[in-house]
Amino acid sequence: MNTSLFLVAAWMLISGASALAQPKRIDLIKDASTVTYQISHPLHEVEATSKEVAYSLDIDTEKKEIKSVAAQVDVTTFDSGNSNRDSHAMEVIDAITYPDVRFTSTSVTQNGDSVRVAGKLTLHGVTKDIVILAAAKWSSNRLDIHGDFDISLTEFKIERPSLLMIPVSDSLKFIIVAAYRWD
Amino acid sequence: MNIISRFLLPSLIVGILCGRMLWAQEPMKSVVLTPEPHPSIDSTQADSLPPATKPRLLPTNMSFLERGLWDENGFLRNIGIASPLTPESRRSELALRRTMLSIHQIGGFLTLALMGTTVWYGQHALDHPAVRTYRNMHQTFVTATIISYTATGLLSVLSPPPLIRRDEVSTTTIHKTLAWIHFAGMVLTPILGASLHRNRSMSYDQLARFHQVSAYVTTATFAAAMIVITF
Repeated sequence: MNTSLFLVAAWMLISGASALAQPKRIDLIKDASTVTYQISHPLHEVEATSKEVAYSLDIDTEKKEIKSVAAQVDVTTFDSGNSNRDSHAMEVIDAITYPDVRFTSTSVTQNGDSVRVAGKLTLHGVTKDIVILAAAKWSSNRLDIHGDFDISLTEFKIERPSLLMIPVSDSLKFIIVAAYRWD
Repeated sequence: MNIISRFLLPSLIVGILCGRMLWAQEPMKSVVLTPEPHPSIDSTQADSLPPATKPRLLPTNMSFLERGLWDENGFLRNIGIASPLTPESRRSELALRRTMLSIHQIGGFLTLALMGTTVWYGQHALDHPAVRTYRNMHQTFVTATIISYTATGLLSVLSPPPLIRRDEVSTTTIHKTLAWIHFAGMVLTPILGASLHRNRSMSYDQLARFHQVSAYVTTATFAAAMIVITF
């Protein structure tokens, strides 16, 4: 009897400890989370934001460490304030065939508030390795992440859109703003 | 062997070619939108993401003309000029739209140059009524401007609709609002010019003044419509 009780208690302790060590998926605060892209044209800078981004994050709440990251956004949700321009962007990335952009991390390294996320970005049907440098701000039950990374349109086989026969720059910057809460 | 080489082989080749052509006409199959697998990717993390939402093929708020021409049962589809509405046909239409709008931009520069030259000769014709050359050149450039303006405008008006269109105030909507003003000017100005020597209810000077103001306002509005698109 005593042996059985001991085994049950030991099993509960082990399973409890392993549950604590498991990364926890935390809830995105949708209203405070966006993804923005910036691109340059000799005549003006273009900035388009999507508020419909899905960020998925696993963290170790005890150590306050990010374990893995994934993100998805439908390209039609980017709004630059000019739907004609947004439609042009959707034409060049062939939004009918490739309606979203996806990212999944392969490794996450954290040094204080600085986070380096390496992973795979799929855009326009092309998947490339990218590195996102971000700042993570931890509070009692909230995590705010702000990061960015650049991509080359040519590398993703995207034809550069042009205005008045002048194409935009090849470099496009993504800016990530994500906020999470946990109980 | 003779029968084979004369009839069967050509039939076979024609059959294969026809088959390939028919196959090429088939609408595109739907594309599976899953990212490439990677050994170190956390698959549960990737699976937690929502699936992609296929965009609508046509915007919800098309103009009256766009709806009449390019809707699922639009005029151009009904008479066979445009293909039935499929992802593949929309992709071609968007490419056509881009080509038409690129030529529209070039046409805008050409029309502005012609319009400016027309105004320059028109002003000289008013300032020097005795010099016949100014009036003749003015009339020549009026014709060229009307042709260029009409072609440029039609390239935009008849182009297939974009993928999305939101209700907003943007440089494009201002460009289109200004287009209504310079379109009215492009109708009014030649009518006033043509009636300079025919109208008896108003004096020549009065009509010439209206024609002149209308021409300047039209040219300025047209230039503004071009400039606003760069912001």
